[in-house]
Amino acid sequence: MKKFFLKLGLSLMAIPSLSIQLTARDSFEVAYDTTLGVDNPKPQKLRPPRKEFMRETLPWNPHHDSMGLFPYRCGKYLMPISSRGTVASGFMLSNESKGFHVRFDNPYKVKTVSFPRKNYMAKVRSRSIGMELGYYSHPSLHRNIYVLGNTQWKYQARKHWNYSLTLGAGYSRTFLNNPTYKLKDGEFHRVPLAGYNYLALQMGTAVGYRIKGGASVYMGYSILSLAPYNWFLIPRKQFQLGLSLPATVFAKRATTNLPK
Amino acid sequence: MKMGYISKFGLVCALLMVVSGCKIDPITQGMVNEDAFIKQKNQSLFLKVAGNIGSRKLVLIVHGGPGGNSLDYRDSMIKAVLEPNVAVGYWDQRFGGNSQGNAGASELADYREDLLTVVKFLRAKYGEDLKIYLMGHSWGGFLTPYFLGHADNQQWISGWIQVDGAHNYPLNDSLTEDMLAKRAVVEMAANRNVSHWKEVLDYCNSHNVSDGYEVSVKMNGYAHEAETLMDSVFAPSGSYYKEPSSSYRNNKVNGVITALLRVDSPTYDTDPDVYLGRIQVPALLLWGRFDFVCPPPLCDDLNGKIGSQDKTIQFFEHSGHSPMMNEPNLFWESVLDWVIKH
Repeated sequence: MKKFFLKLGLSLMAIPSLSIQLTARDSFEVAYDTTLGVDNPKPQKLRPPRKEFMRETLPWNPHHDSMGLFPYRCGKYLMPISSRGTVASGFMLSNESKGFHVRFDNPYKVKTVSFPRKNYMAKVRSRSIGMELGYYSHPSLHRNIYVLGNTQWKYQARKHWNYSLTLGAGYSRTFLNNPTYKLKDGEFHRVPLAGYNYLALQMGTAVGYRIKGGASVYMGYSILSLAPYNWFLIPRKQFQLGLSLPATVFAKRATTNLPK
Repeated sequence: MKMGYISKFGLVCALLMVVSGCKIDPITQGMVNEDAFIKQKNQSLFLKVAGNIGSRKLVLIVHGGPGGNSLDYRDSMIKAVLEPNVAVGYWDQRFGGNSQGNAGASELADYREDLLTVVKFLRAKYGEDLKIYLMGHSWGGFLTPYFLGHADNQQWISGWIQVDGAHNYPLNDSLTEDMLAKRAVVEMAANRNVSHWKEVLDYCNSHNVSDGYEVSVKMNGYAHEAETLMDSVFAPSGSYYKEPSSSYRNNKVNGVITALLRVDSPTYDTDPDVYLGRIQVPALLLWGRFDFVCPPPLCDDLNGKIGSQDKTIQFFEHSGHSPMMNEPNLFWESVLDWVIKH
């Protein structure tokens, strides 16, 4: 029993002062010399644990932020970008259209596995909530601007690769890509800004490669559906290629704008 | 002096009014390649016009489906043969191709009204003296006589080209069943694709097209498959190239939509004999000899019932349901010759 408490005490010392939820699975493997008695507590050499697990639940609401996770502000407005989050931007290509998107992902659940004994980077599983803004132009069909609320599951492997799955829903406004006419009183008149409002649903997956400073390039594939389209929905697949940066890249500049 | 919000708003409104009030200046000369949408009953109908508008003749394609796509017809052959000589209108019907919208009406009469609006638009945009020739294929072959035989619609049309059209759905189905059953016997005797033809024959013997819509759909599937098994039917040649169309992706979705809406289901309650006799415009009837989907006897039925005095019939001996794909050169040259003569 005493050994157990000693182990636990040593382990807790290593934990950063973030809100941490320990579970039964979060065991800390601490090297411990069994020849040492409690009466003789001189540790000869403490080996770091082989793995360290950490679970965090981060606030994603900037107004309830207590850890400086949301430093990005524009004037008096706090931007919903967490310093633990990422800003991804890339091209969207298909054989029919070209476009781009910008996405902010704010992680709110993070599980980190670090390897203190080796020079590995940490394995991180995270779940994020964020926002995506996209635009594409599809000749002969329409141009589309959409805003989505996203949730993302991401796994960062201990070396470079990361994998993510994203689900999103939001609003889409299309503008017909060609002059649009309407017959009225026996004459055809041009309709300005003709287009439609749709519910946009998106599912996407991406593979990223971490390059430096938390930045990674990614290649993704997504299906964006617009509904109700002709009483149903229209799915469109898009290949994505882009760069994902940690929000801290922007946060540094933003912090200087914070009121003193 | 800074412009106030009200002034800015007024300026935007004025601009919008100017833009929305733009009328169409007709184009009557040269080559064109223009896309437009026509808003009609909660749908924006896509229309592409390409080719020699200076010829003052335009072939308006009424595509198959329902839920098909007019740009499927715009291949290298039509661009090489037809477009340099006459203009071609590629119109996507509602729930087809690039036509889009949140919803929209789906009655047969709405399709007919759409076609009339498109024809009026073509005349407004490319001149009142433009001669328009309707070319209906498959399901479009139902819509064109349905349109021409209604009211005074044919006053706007200079000619009608019917390509393997389904002007009479119940008759079409019974002819398909008959052709499939007869062909199955021939093919099995010749020991070609025996298992497939046995399946077809069994289905034909155990079902009747009058049993319902599902049987008709199944027969239609067998019919499309059958022509691919015919050695006499030419595959599209190497020079036949479809341009990457933005609406190929839409085809499957539109197919599903029109199937769910059962757009063509009311055709079974439509008696074409009521209006076929009214059609007086010159007609060109083009049929693939191995068309199981809309079998050649349909051509004979049409020939006997339309009121036109000027009728031309041509069969394509190495074609199935789509001679413009099986024998594209011959097909488009035949169309061009006839259009020039009329």
